[in-house]
Amino acid sequence: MTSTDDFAVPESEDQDIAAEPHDPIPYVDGNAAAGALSEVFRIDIIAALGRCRHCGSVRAFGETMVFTDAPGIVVRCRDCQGVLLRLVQTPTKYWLDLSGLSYLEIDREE
Amino acid sequence: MGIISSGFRGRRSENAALPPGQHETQDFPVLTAGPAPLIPADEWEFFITAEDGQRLSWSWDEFMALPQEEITQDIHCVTSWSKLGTTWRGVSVDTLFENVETTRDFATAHSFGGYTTNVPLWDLLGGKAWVAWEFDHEPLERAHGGPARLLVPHLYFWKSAKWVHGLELTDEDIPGFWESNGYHLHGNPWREERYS
Repeated sequence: MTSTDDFAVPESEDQDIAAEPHDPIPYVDGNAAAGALSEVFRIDIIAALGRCRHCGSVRAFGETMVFTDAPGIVVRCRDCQGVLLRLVQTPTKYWLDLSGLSYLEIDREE
Repeated sequence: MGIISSGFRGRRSENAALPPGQHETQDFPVLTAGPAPLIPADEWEFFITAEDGQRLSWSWDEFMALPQEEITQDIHCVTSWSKLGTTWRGVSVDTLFENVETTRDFATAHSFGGYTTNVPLWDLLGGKAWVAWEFDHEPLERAHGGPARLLVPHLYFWKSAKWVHGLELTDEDIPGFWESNGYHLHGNPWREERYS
């Protein structure tokens, strides 16, 4: 309870919102984060493999769940919904938290 | 051919109820950092923890048996929309703190699903904050934080944690989910405390 950086969702949840049947909280795939992240990465983040710190799942970044209807961009693991990455854009700065990724594996250009 | 005025939307509102940089919306946009957790009433609880292992908790039935208040307040989202005159029903945080003895000055609100946000205790007490379970005379929709959310309407709405689970009292102001990644520790809309 004292930890403030463990954002893993322990149970998979039914995505339906009670008041709006079959209308889930909207999310999109990792490609939706590409535009904003291209400002801070010089790599092809979409093709990179990332390991989730919460559950150990290794997937391409493009397979993640991206929540954009929020005060920032929140990228979650498709397997456990734990937070992999957060990006907040203020008028003067980017704030990038990668602590949910234990590594990124990135192809080098040939 | 029409001429598009780019200056119109950016003009400072003349509505005195709107903090700087805010515009009024009639909708109730859903902003969320992740999936909506599903919390059955029989698994729901609200807790307060303080020093020396002190932990109070209320089941849903115990919570609903507490004195309930009708609340009418304006709410202000940091993404710049405000919704005026919203009506809620819930339990005052003052009521929940009646049997809490603490010297701590800060709280971290914890939500089901892992979200956290930090709020100084003096912003939660004195009739300024509630745990709300009804919006506009209807049970709070899950998309908006149901079964219950924290309601701290005088601060930006990211402080009003959806799916709230409890309050952990702390000695220091510990940044929560958004506060640890660029957003302001406090979040007063009238001072435009948006970013850190």
